[in-house]
Amino acid sequence: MTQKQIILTVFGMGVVTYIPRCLPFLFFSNRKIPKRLEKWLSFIPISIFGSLIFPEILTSENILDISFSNIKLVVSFIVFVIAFKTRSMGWSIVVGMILFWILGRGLM
Amino acid sequence: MFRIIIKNNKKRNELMLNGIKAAWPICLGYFPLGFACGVLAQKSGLCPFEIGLMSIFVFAGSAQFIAISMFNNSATIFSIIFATFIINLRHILMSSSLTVYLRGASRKFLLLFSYGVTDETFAINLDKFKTGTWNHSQALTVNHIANVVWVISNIAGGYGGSMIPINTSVINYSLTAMFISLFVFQIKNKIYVLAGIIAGISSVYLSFVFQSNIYVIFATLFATTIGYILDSFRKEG
Repeated sequence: MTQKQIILTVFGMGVVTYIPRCLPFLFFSNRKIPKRLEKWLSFIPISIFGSLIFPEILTSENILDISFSNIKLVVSFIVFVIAFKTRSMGWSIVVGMILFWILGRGLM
Repeated sequence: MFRIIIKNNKKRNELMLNGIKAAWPICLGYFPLGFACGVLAQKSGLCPFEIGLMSIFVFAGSAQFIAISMFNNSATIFSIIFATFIINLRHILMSSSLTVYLRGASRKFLLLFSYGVTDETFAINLDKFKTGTWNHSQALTVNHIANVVWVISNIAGGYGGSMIPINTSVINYSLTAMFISLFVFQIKNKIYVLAGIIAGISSVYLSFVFQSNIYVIFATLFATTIGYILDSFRKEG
């Protein structure tokens, strides 16, 4: 690709990323959100995180792996407990990365 | 009058500081991730200028990673843009649930704020808004800080990447750890836990069906609706 094509691609990527981000704000900025919709929306965050996490930690290369040899799953369980107990995102990430690094090295 | 200005400045600084404090976990995850993103981009033939431009225009981790691998495999312009659209479509759900907290903000503010809605800023701001102590400008500060860290780390990766060996799987794990803690923070009662688990299971199943990560959207919509239905049953019963 030439630089011109790359910049054009990047620009296009920016446009299609921005539109879904701002549409809901513009749509709802001068409208009242119905109570029912608000309730429905309140389930979105936990559902998004659930659907981002599970495939990431339970599958590798399209195969389901639920076992103790799945380091990601083991570490994630510990991170879950840490997050629950400490309510600190920073600590959960730091401990998670260190554990993942150590266990990953140990098994390689 | 002078005193008032000082007082206002002090208050503003305090607000800024709160925003910075809230943003540090994002920086922790973003710096290594953005660096890795820059390194990979450089390896697939993008120069630091193009890498910087991409991180400013797109400002979305997973989409950039996938686009970079597509650049590497000489995909067409259209397919890269389309893949980006599908991957980032989930932000529409995040913005939708943030609208509740940003009512009354000006159009200009919303246009600027929405640019910075990512998985991470969304989660932090949502968490803070729920505690009730968060205001619009603090939320925008979090977005801006995350954005600056993201762009700088991307460009740094583009320059220095070839010299430093990086373990991408550990870096990628920082994102997963962040999502896990965000999942935990969202738990309000059993129905929310159930919705999260339903989302996870259906997402695993759908990930085998779909090539791109559009399954995240389907799984989220499905679990959100189930959660809503269960909740209304509980109220009636």
